[in-house]
Amino acid sequence: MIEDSPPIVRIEKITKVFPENNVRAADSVSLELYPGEVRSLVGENGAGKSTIMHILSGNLAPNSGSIRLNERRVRFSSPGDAILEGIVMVHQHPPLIPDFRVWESLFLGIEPTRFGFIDRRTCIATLERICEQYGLSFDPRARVADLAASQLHLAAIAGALLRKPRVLILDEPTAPCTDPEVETIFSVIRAAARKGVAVVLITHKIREVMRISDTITVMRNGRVVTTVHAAETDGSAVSAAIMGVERPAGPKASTKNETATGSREDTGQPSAIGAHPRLSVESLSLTVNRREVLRDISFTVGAGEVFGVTGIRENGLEFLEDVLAGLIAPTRGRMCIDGVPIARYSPREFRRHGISYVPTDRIFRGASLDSSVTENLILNRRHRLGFAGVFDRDTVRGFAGSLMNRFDIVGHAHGPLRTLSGGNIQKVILSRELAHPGPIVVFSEPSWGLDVRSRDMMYAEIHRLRADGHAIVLISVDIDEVLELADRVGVMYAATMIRTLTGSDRSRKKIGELMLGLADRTTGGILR
Amino acid sequence: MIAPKQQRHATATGIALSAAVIATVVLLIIGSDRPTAALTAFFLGPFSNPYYFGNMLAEAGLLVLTGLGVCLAFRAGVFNLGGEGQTYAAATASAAVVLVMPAAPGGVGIAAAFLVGIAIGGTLGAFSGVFKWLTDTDELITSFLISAAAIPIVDYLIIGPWNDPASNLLTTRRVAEQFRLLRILPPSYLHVGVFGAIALSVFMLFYLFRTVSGYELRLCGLNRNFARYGGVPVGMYIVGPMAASGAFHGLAGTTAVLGIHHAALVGFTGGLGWNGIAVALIARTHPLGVIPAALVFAYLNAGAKAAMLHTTFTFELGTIIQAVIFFLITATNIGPQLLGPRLTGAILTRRTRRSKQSEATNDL
Amino acid sequence: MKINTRIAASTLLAAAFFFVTAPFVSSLGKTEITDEETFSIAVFVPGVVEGSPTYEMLVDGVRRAAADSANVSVRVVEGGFNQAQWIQSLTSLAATGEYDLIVSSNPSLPEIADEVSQSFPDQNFLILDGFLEGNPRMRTVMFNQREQAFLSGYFAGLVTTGGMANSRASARVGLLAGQEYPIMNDVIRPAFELGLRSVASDGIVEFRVLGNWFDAGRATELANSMIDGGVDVILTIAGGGNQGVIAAAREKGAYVLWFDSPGYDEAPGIVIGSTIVRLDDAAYERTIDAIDGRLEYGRAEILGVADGFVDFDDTHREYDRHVPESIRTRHKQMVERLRTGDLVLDMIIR
Repeated sequence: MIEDSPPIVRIEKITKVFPENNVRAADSVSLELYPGEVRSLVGENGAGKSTIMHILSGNLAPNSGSIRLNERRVRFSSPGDAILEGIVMVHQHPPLIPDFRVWESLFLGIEPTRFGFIDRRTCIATLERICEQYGLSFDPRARVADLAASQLHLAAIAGALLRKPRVLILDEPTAPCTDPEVETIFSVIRAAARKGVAVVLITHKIREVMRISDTITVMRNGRVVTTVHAAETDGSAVSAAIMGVERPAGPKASTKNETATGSREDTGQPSAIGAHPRLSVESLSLTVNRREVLRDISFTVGAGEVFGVTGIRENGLEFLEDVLAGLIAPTRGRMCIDGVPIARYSPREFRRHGISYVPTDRIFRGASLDSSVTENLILNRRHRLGFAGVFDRDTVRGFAGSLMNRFDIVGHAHGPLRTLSGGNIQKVILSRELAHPGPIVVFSEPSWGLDVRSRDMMYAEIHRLRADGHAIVLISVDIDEVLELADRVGVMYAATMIRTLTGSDRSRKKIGELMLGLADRTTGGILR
Repeated sequence: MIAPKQQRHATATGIALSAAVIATVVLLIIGSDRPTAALTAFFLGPFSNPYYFGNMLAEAGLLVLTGLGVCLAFRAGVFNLGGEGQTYAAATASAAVVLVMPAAPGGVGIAAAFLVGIAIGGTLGAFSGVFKWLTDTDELITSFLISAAAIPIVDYLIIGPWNDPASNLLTTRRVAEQFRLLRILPPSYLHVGVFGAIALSVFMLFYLFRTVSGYELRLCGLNRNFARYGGVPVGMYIVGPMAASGAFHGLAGTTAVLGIHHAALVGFTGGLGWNGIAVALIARTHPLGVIPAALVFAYLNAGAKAAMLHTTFTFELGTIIQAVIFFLITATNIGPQLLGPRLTGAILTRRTRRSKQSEATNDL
Repeated sequence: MKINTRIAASTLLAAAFFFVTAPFVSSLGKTEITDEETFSIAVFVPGVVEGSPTYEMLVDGVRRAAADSANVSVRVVEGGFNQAQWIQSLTSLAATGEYDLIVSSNPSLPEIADEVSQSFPDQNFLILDGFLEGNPRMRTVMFNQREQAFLSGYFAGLVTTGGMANSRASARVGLLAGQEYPIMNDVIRPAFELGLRSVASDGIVEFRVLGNWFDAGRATELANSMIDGGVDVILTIAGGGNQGVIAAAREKGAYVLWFDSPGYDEAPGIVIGSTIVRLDDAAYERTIDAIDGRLEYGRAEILGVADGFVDFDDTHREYDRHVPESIRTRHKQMVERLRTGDLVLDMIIR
C-alpha cells in the first residue's frame, strides 16, 4: 500500500449507459489505483465492476468522464490503445483462438519478427521465462483447444504479463480453478504487485478477497459504495456493504458462507440415506475417444437428499454431468429411476422421466442468447402453454411474467436474452428449471457467476427442493458449496468416484486430499 | 431502438442493393447509345405497361415461395443450397403429371401437379436432411450436389423422352387449358398463384412465431445444444425443415409451370433457387419480409430487362444485378456463419465494438 | 414472439408504392417515344450475334435495308441461350409498342411469335428460317433445307466413294445435330440421306444429337465415336459444337461438311464442302418490302436453290485446292440442275 506515491490511474466521474436496455451501468464512478497495490473490486452482478474495468481497458467507451494515467488525460478507442499504455485486462472467458498454439495465441498482435517472419523461438523462450518467473506451468506449444479451462486462464494471465502491464485487471480469475491453481494465481498477483504493477481483481469470492487484497472497493448499482483497507475490515463487513445491509454486530463475525455452513451442520437434519432411492447409478463407465473418462461409478440418491459430487475438473465431472443429463449414453452400466432402468439416453427421454437439469455451460447449453427472455423461460413448459400446438399468447406472457417476478429477473421479457446482465441470465436459467422441477434435479455448478444475494437465493431454492422431497444431484468444484448443501459427497479423482463421505467425514481437508489423489495411501484403498 | 446486429444487417443489405443499382446504372450509361432512355427504362420500365408490371409481380410471387423455403431452412439452422434443382425437378415432374392426364378435370390435375411438385421438391430436400442427421454430412454440400445432379437428368427428360416433337424448342408439350392457373392481368403472366404465395407467408409467420413446433424449430436454429438440452428432437428439425424447404421450392416450380410457362422448357426455372436465397437474406429470414424483398428483387430484374432493350450489350444485365446482390448479400450474411464463430466472430465483434466506441468517444 | 411491425409496415409501404405509381408511370412510359423515325425495327436474336454467322447475316441484312431507306431505326436485342426466356423477351419487345416490325430468325420463333400475337395482336413479325402460315401479322421466310441437305448428302456420297486421302469408301457418313427438331427430323436428315444414296445406294447416315448448341467437348466425343465406327464425312449442324467436330476430324483423319455459311476457312483441308444460305439477302429484301409497305403478312414462303438463296459454295479457293476435280465436276452437274430449276425438291412441312 503506497498511498503516499501518486496514483497511476485516476478515473474521474465515469458514466456509462447501455442504450440496449437503458441501464446506467456506471454512474459517475471515481477511482484511484496506486502502483504496487492489489485492489479487489466487489459487488453484486450488475453492480458495474466489469463495466468500469472494460472502460479502463479500452473495451468500452464511456458516455462521460475521464481517465488520467500518471496525471495525463488518455482516451482509448480500443483495447490495443490501452495495452500500449500498459493497461491489460484478462477476461473471464479469455478469447483465445482454439486452433492456434498457445504461444501463437498469446503473442497475437505483439509478435517479435525476424526478417518479416514471426520469431517462433523468441516467442516460446519469452513465454517460458515469464512462466518460470511467476511459477506458472503450461505447455506453450499445446493447442489452445487442448488446454483445460483453468490452464487457459493461467495462459491468458501469462499473455497479459507479456504485454508488460502497469495496470493488470483480472476478471474472476479463480472461477474455474481449484485450490492449488488459486494459489498459483495469488502468487502471480503478489509477484506482479511487488514489481509495482497495480492489480485489480474482480471477484465474488469474499474469502479470497480478504486473503489477497490490500484495498477493497465495493460497488453497488453502478456506484462506488466504499473503498477500505483489507486489514481494517472483515468478510462480513464487506459482505454487508455489497448487499447494502447494515453491518452485523460483532467486528469479526464469520463470512456469510461460513455461517451458512455452520448452521447446516448444526441442524444435522436426518438425510434420506437408506430410504428408497429415486435415482440409482450402477457401475457406470464411459469411454470417449478410447480414453476411459468414467470408471465404474455407482451411487444412489433418495428423495429429500442432496448428493454432492466434487473433484478437480478434468477428473470426470463433466462427463458425469453429460451422462446424468442424457447427453451421452454410458459405455457400460446403467441408470435407474425408482428401480426401473432408463432405456434411452437422450435429454428428451430424461425430461420425460422427470429429471430437471441446470448445466454448467449456461451460455451454449442452458440458454439461447439470441432468443427472447420469454422464449428461454418457456422451454420446459412449451407444451402446456396453449392448445393443439399453438401458443396462447396471454398464457405465455403470464407464465413468463410470473417467473420473472418470482425470481426477480430484471430485463425486458421480449428482448433478446443477450441484453440481460450475466446474473440475470443465470436467474432465467435457474427459474426455468426450478419453476416446475421434476422429482430428480441435477445441478452443475449452480452458483457460478452469481452474486452473493443470488447465490443465497439459489441455496434457499435447493434447500426447499430437498425439503419438498426431490432427489438432488449437485456437481460442483467448489468444496464449500458441496459442504454447505450436500448430505453425502462423492469425490471424483481420475475418472473414478474414490470415496463417498457422509456426516462428520465431510471435512474440507479430507475432501481436498481426496480430490488431489493424496488420500489413497492414508486410507488404505478406495472406499465407496 | 435497433440492436447493433440488426443494424449491421440492415446496412449490409442496403450496401448490396445500392451496389447492384449503381453497377447497373454505370453499365447502362457506358453501354447504351441512349443512356437517358435506358435509365428511364431501368427505373420506370417495370411500371410502364401492364405487361411488365404483371410479370414483375408474377416473378415476385415465385421468389416469395422459394424465399420462404430458404427462410424456413435458415431459421432451423440448416442451409438448403439445392433450390435450383428442387424447383426444376418439381416443375418438370408436375408438368409431366398433367400431361399424362390431359382429359382430367382442372381441379384434379392441378391438385395432382401440386402434390407431385411438393413431393419431389420435398424428397430432394429431405435427402440432405437425412444424410446430415444420420452421418453428419454437411447439408450445404449435399443439397447442392444433389441439385447439381438432378438438373442434367431433368434436362435429359425434357430434351429426350418428354420432348414435344412438334416444337422447335427444347420443351415438353403444353399443359391442357383447364390446368392453367387463372391469369389476373393479361397479357402479363400474373396469375392467382401470387395470392397463395402471400397466404403462405402469413401462414409461415404464424407457424414460426405462434406454434410450439415453430418455436422448437427456431430454437434449433439459434442454439441447437440448447434445444437438445430442452428435449427438442433435434434430428427431426434437421430433416423436417430441409424437406419443407424443398417442398416450398417444389411449390414454386409447379406454380411456374401452371401459372407462367404452361410447359417445362430446358432451364426454365433457372435462378429461382439462388435468388430465393438472396431474397430470404434481404428479408432477414422474416416470413413477411420476404414479400417486399421479392418485390425489390423482381423490380430490379424487370428494370434490367426493360433497360436491355435500350442498350447494345451482348450480355444479360439482369444476371449481373442478380450476381452483385447475391455476392454481397451472402458475403455479409452467410460468410461469417460458414467460417464459424471462431475467427470471424471475434473479428466482427472487435470491429463493431471499435466502431461503437468511436461513436461514443465523440461524446466525451 | 411478436410480429415485426417495421417489416409489416415496409411491406405495406412497398405495396402502396407499386400501386400508386403504376398508373402515373405508365402514362410517362408512353410519352417516351419521341423518335422521328417513320419506321422502327427491332431485330430479336434468339442467342447472341457474336460467333453466329446466321445471326450476323440477319442483323447485317436488316441494317443494310434500313441504311438504304430513309428514317428507319434498327435495334438489336439479344435473347440469350435460355429458350425459356425467349417468349418473355419477345413479348417484352412487343409490349413496348415502339416497333413497327420485329425481325427474327430461328425455326422455333414462329410458334413463339404466334403466342406473343395472342397478347399483342397488332405487332408485325418477319421471321426467317421458320415456317408458319395463317397468322395475319406474320410473314415467314423458309429456306429450302431439303435441297440444301440433299446437296450436302450428294457431296458426302461423292467424297466417301471418291478415293480421297481419308475416304474409306464405306459409304457411311455422319450427321451431328445440336438438338432434334421437326425440320431436322423431317427434312434435313431424310434429304441428306437421299443425297447420299443418290451416289451410293447402300449409304448409311449415322445420326447423333449433341443436346445443346455449344458443348464442343461432347461434340468431339460424339464425332470420335462416329469416326471410329467407320464414318469419314460428317455434316455438322451444332452451333458451337461444330468446332469439336473439326477437332475430332483433324485428329482422326476425316472430313467435315459445313451448313448455312461458308466454312472452308474454319479448317482448310478438313472442311471440304459447305452449303450456304443467303439469309442476309433474304432479310434485306423482305425488310425493304416491309418498310415500303409491300410485304404481305400471313404468308409463308420457301426460297430454294433456284431462287438464289440456297446454294453450294463451290467458288472457294480451299474447295478447289482440296477436292479432286472428278468429284467437283460430278457435283457441279447436280448443283447446276437445281440452280436452273431442272430439278426441284419440294420442301413439305407438316
